[in-house]
Amino acid sequence: MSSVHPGRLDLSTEVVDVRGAAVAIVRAEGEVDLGSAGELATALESATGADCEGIALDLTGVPFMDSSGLRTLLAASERTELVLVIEPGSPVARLLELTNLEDRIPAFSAEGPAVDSVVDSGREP
Amino acid sequence: MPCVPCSSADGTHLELELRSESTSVAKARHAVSELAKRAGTRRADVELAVTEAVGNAVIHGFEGREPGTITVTGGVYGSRLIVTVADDGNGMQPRVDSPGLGLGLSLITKIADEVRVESSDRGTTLSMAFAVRDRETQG
Repeated sequence: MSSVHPGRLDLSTEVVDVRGAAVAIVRAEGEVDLGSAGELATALESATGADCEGIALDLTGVPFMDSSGLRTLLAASERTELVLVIEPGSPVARLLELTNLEDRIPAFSAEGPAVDSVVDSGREP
Repeated sequence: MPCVPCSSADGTHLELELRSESTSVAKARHAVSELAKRAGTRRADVELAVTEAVGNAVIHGFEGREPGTITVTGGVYGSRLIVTVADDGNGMQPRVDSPGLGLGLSLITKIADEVRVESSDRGTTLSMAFAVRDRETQG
């Protein structure tokens, strides 16, 4: 994990083609809390509007997230297919576990399976 | 309002005054994180609980009025780290349209070993206790 500046969140979005379907990969680096959750929300909203099957949100570069971050994820999952990439045992993983959201928003430990999941979910009958 | 941290010489006590704004959440978390590390407690849990407590104060504590002050204090007392988040706001008010889904307080009660809340129309004080563990196992 690269070093992050406390209180600062860096976001990037990449759209990839997976078996003919477009998937947005949003990568976050930094802490997600009340002060930065809005930036994450904006990035997810933009990705939702990018005509993609869904979003794979990579949180492996996020050393901390609170309930405001969770609310942002839940809001995004209401609008589009959202899956997460998280580091097992990380504070983000623990937060999902504490709130029983690990069953509501699929999570993977690597981007590849996460992106495939978005496409497969969109193609389920 | 300046952020005025005050720490004891051995780093096991903290007092921090913050403005009730969103950027104060990270300031509180980082200050308390160092305290938790020195005290030998579950650092990640302390970070999350304090973040939720300060966040609650920012979101709910001063609705309909000017932003006020949030004071974060922390110290080791016997076998426990006790962190208190106090605001001089409106006190806790029941809301059917809570924007927070009620997650913050429920998270705090789940991860802290003990939680106490005092609320009046002069503000809310939330105290959280965390067992001090062996330094070799601190998170």
